[in-house]
Amino acid sequence: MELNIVRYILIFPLLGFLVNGLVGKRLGNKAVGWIANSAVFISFALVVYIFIQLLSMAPGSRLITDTVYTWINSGSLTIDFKLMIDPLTIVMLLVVTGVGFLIHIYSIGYMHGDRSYSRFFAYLNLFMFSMLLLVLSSNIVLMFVGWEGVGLCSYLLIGFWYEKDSAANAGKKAFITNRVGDYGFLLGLFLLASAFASKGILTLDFTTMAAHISLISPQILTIVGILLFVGATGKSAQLPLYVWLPDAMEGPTPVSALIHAATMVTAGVYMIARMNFLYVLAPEALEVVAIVGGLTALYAATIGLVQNDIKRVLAYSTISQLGYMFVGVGVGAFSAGIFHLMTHAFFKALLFLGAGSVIHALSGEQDMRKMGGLKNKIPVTHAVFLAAALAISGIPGLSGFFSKDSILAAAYASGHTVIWLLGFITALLTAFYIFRLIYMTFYGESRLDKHAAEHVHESPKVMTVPLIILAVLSVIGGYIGVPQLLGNLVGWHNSDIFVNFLAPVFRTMPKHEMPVSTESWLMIGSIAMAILGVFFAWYVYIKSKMRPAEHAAESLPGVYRLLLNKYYVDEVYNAIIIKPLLWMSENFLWKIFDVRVVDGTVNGSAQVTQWASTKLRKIQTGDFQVYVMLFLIGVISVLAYFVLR
Amino acid sequence: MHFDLNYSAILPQIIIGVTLFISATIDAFSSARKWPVGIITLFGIGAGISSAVYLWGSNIVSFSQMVSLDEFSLLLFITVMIAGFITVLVSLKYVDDMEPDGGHFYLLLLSSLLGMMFLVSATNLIVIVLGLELMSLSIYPLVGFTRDRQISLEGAMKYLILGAIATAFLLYGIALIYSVLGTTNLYTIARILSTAQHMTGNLVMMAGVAFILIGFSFKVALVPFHAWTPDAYQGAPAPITGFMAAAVKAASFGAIIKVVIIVLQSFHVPVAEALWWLSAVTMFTGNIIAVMQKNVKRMLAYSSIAHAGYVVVGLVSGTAFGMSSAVFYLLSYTFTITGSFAIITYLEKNDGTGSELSDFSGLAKEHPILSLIMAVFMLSLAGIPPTAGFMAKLYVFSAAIKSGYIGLAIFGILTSVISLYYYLRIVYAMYFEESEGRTDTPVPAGIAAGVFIALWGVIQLGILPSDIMNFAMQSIQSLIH
Repeated sequence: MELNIVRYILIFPLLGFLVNGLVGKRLGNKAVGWIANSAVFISFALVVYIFIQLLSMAPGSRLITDTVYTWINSGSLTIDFKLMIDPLTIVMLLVVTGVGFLIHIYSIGYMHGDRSYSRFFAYLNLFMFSMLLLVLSSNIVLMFVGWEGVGLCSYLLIGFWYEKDSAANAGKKAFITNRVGDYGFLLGLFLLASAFASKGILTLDFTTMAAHISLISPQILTIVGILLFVGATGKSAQLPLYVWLPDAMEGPTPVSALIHAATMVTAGVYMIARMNFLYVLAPEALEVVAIVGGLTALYAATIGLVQNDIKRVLAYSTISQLGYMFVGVGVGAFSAGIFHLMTHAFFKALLFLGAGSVIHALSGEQDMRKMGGLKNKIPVTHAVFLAAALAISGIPGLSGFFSKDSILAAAYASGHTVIWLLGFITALLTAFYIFRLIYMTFYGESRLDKHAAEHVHESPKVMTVPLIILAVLSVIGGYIGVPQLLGNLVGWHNSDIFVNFLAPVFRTMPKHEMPVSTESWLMIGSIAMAILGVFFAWYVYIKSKMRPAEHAAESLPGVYRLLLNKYYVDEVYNAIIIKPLLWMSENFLWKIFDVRVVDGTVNGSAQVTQWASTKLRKIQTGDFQVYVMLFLIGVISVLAYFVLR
Repeated sequence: MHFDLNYSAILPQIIIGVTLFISATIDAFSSARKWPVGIITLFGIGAGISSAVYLWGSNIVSFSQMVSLDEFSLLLFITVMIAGFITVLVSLKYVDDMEPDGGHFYLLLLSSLLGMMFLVSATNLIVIVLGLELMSLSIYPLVGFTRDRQISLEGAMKYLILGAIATAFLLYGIALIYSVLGTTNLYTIARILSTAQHMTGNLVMMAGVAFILIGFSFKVALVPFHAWTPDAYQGAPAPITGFMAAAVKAASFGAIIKVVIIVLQSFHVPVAEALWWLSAVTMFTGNIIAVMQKNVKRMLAYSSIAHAGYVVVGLVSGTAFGMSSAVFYLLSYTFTITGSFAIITYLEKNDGTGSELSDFSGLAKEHPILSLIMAVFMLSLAGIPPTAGFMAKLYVFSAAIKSGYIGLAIFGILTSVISLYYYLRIVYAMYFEESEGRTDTPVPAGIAAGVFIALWGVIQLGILPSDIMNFAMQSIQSLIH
């Protein structure tokens, strides 16, 4: 079905960006906040409207398109500026605009008093536009435009406080690391385009590609799949390109919540789900996705165990959770991956915004060693934080439990026992590090600075209301995807609404059935892991007042230091990649190639031009006689040309 | 011979003519402030544009085969009338500031529009000369509109005398052709040439074609027939400079396409070779001399010379696509240059100063939006995407490449690299140089409106060029059939 209102989902955030970016400073902060928020709210309302439209259609034919215009028509390639909404898109749209809107509201309070208030909201709107474009585009080229757009916004917002060196550097790091991934993505895109072109298919529309994917040889599909996944490891912070995400916490906290937890970093997962028709025919590539996802999940969780900065714990947690999502799509359980993407958007956005609320209350303090005992001083923040922590730990009944469990079950069922084990252990670590965070922040004795202690205050309503809404979503969001196993217990047929809703979008992998008893034991196992993790954290940080942690750090100094220094990966990258590159660019590219060759050519041609200009200008003396003479020279030459040739 | 007087064949001209009479009447009875005359003129031109849009698709030859109304003439009508519309919008306040009792500004502009419209719709060489002269004779006094400014009068005078010489060549060329073929009717000429053999060996005929080419080359300011341009453009009031660069060029190029490229098609080989050289010399000279200019009006005068060279690149190929790309180029240039001169009009002071490069210093601080738009116009002139100027250059160069003129295309692209220097010089001044203190007057509503129309055109043609290109194709097809 063609529906021309789809484009307006994009237009309003773009307008918000233009207005706030161009004249925001003159409008005043109040107007800026209103404009940015209403732009996103209108998009959200449109998405909800289209969602209702979509639900009224038959499950198999749920597809809405909007062709804006033909973007590229170069004879051998036709790319439309065309938007497409199917069940997968609408889930992403609801998450992006819904969570995005809540974070926009929260930002009004959080950014209150910042001198670049209008610039912040302009960027935030631009990000919404880019992210929506990424999700809505009906072909992979347009998707790449959005993909690059969100990268740009991420860079701009990480370095938002650019006066701070660390923020400016973090922005650069994010951008450059993403370039590495994008290079892979582009190579994959080119290879895909040329493979299709050689079969006479001159468009890169998802539906067209899906229909003709079997024309392409499996070897090429595998290479394309892996190259595209390289792009995803950059954008979605997976091994080995995850290094930018922890540093990205230099950006304002709403940015961390929106871009670096809920939406942009999940773009890689979305891309793989969107390209599912390719990946099911390239099982080797899918295997790579699952392995990288599983390793990243465990790896990042171990680093998260020892970090002391509240936002960094959450950053590593995000990387780890993204790993889960890749495990999900990697074992072919696309719906499970997207389900976790959604629930994660709720509880991780909540965790970040809650952390922001804590930081706000403590006048900018982020070190958990200087927190503690905040439970009664900021009760609302504590309550919502606890809800999110329970959700992410996988405590039964909350959203995280359902989505994480369906990924682990799918991994086990498809025979990826080792990857299942990685995820299983990660579940324990997750529950531990998140409750370590809770206990260090909200419980125990207060370790606050005198200065901070005097000013502790609960955040204003404009911040707490979005927190409460997200908390509700984190708690109940999982009930749209209740495993059939549990649904049967209460006599609920088709309890897995989410999977059924998305099913028409995804090509199915060979089905792996698992006996009910196995599935039950797996579920009980992961519940046990979650509870165990919470208990350990309680034992270490409350019961024994951190002594075991100190004891462990002392008795295993090597391991502790390795984790605290994040496996020294930054240092290794610095030594083997950055330093040699810098050396080469300074000594060869700059001092020889740039200065001598490029500058020489440019300056040389500029000098020649100026010289010629000075000489030629002298013809234009202003003397009328000279003009007539010039004219006559022209006449004679043209005439001579015509007559004498 | 029966007299076919189908007045709908000149409906847009009638509208402009009637507007001219109404405006003249109101001018005679109004006070020293003449903006009401301008408003009437605006409505008249608006009605003219609407009629042209309404008549799109019709094909009427009338008045004893003197004029034809086809999609080609309609598209050029629209182009020159858009230029006129924006110019009048921009001038509403300017005219009253410059000259008390200056209502003739609008009247002359209307009569020059009328001349242009006859020029592009003429199907007889005599009507072409009439149209050309009506256009030129109305433009000369407009160049010297500010009577007490010596530089204006000097520019107008040089333009007038050189223009007279050029017209003499054009008329002489027509006479020579008439002496060989015995007709001035374009259809008859085309028919005779299509059957006659060895016409390219006829020296009189060859000289006639060469003279006609020279006459038109003067009007579009191809080097070396360009010498009047810098003085006239610098001396003229800023809105008129924009109007000349846009409309006079568009109309004259319309005549070139119709007469030299299509009717005299059997002379395509010598014409194309001559145009090849004219275009190369023009692009080179225009862009090179512009580099060292300190006055922005003079800089854009040289730039407009160079742009005429780019239009010719589209014509050299002689194909339908090449001519369509030239028409597209004219439309895109019209939007860009009238917009640029609207901004220059705002900066120009009553004594005629204010258009030096240094007057742009630090403009971005005081007028961020105006400066941003000016930067967009400069990028369009330089041919940077996503502006109209980029698509226009892309079309003319690809037309040249498709017809095998790869050398000319490469040369043209190289000269446009040079042009980047002086266009960005203006952007640099606006954004990175410190202001020397400017009296901060608000932007008049007319100028703002004109700038936004121009900006809309620049963006529209830059992002969605294919629709307009289709119109350009249709217009050329309506001539060729």
